Amino acid sequence: MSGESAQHVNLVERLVATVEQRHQTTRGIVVFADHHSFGVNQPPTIGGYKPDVFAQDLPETFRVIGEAKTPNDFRSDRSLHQIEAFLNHLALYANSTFYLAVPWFLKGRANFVIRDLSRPEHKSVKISVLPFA
Amino acid sequence: MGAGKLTLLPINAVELDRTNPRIRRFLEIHQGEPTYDQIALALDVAGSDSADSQGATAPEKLRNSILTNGGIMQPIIVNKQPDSRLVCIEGNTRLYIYRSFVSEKIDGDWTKIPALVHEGLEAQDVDAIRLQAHLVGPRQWDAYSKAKYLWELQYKELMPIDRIIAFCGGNKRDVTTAIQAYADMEHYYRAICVADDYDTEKYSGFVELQSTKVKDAILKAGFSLTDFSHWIAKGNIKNLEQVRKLPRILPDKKARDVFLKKDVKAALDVLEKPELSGTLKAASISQLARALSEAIDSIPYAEVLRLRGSPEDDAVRYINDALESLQGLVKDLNAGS
Repeated sequence: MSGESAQHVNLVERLVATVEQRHQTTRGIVVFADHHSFGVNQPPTIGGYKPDVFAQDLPETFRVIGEAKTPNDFRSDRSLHQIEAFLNHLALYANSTFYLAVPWFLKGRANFVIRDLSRPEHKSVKISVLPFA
Repeated sequence: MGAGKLTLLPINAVELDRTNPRIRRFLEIHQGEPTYDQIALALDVAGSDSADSQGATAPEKLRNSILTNGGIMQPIIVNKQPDSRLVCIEGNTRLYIYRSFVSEKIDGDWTKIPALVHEGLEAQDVDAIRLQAHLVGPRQWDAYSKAKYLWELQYKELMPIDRIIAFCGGNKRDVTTAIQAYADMEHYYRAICVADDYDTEKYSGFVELQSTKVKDAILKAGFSLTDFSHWIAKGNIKNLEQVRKLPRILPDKKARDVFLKKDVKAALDVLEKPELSGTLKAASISQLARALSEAIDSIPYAEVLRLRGSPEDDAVRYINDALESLQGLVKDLNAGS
């Protein structure tokens, strides 16, 4: 995400807040984010790509990956490969969730991309598009 | 937690801490209450493992240092419990060394030890002292003992994960890896071991397992973490460095089969020397160079995209190897011109 736009940074912040709110447990949740406030606590590389947000509980019973996309991001093949890699990864783990955070006007495009990339082996992954105003 | 009171305590008035994770690591296979000798042995053995004791207390070095200085520089920390028992919560090895000096009749007065005594510390205060002293401090425990302690704090004592991370210096990755590695080892490896076979030295393999590359490769190839534990137990994987090779081995059918029958080393031999057909072996370098050029010119774009998205694919590795060899050859050929 290095050198990303203010819009992308804002999407990542809202993505982190959503993940913390929806997946909080009594024992807590560990969140890694590609955001300056997280310092060294960066998400792991998955399939050659670093997601914007990675979260899990401990010991692990669920796993969450969140990715923020701006209009510019959606124009690149790299973005599509990236999302596909994250879905492939999450399909290997139980109780996994993928969030795609986009500006509200990209909701339709995001839903199309998700439908286009989803394969039968991804059916165990809960996928959610988060349109932010 | 108050500041505590600095005093000299008779060594026999202070109990070694039986709940100390470093002690318990070596007493896990003992049934019932450990004796003093077992605890002492555990302290001695725990610190003598140079292989994974980065920064750990080494009893022999500590013993020599105490002898040279005529005593300890930092007081041990003692908790005076409501029933007046004095339990050493930090400095068990130093207390043990003082006792051994007395029993070995070493010159000097070793019957009293400098101690910072707290009264009725809460469990969370004891945890805070241990965490600061042994997880990030200068006298760190070995990796397995640290992980076991963190796991217990988080899983059994329900200490919030954010608090544990803050105590450990804020690095989420280290704490997450330690707790999850311990949890995986307890859940999968302990399940396949009879008591005497459970080897805490295998912990490093479970740390390597936490790499997403490694875990994904195992699951993607249709194996489970129980399979991984069997590989560790049976010796298919002999050291932690070999765990990192699994993402290369498991996707390749032949290497995988060899790995399952033998070990990582044998599987790597298969990968390093891929079988070539007789025709390819007999071809001259000019024929191969021409064939390679033609193959590159006619490669479908979809295949390029696939390879671009699969940087760990064997084909990508062989292409990079070929590039390196060709560059070396071209350099040599041009050297004479």
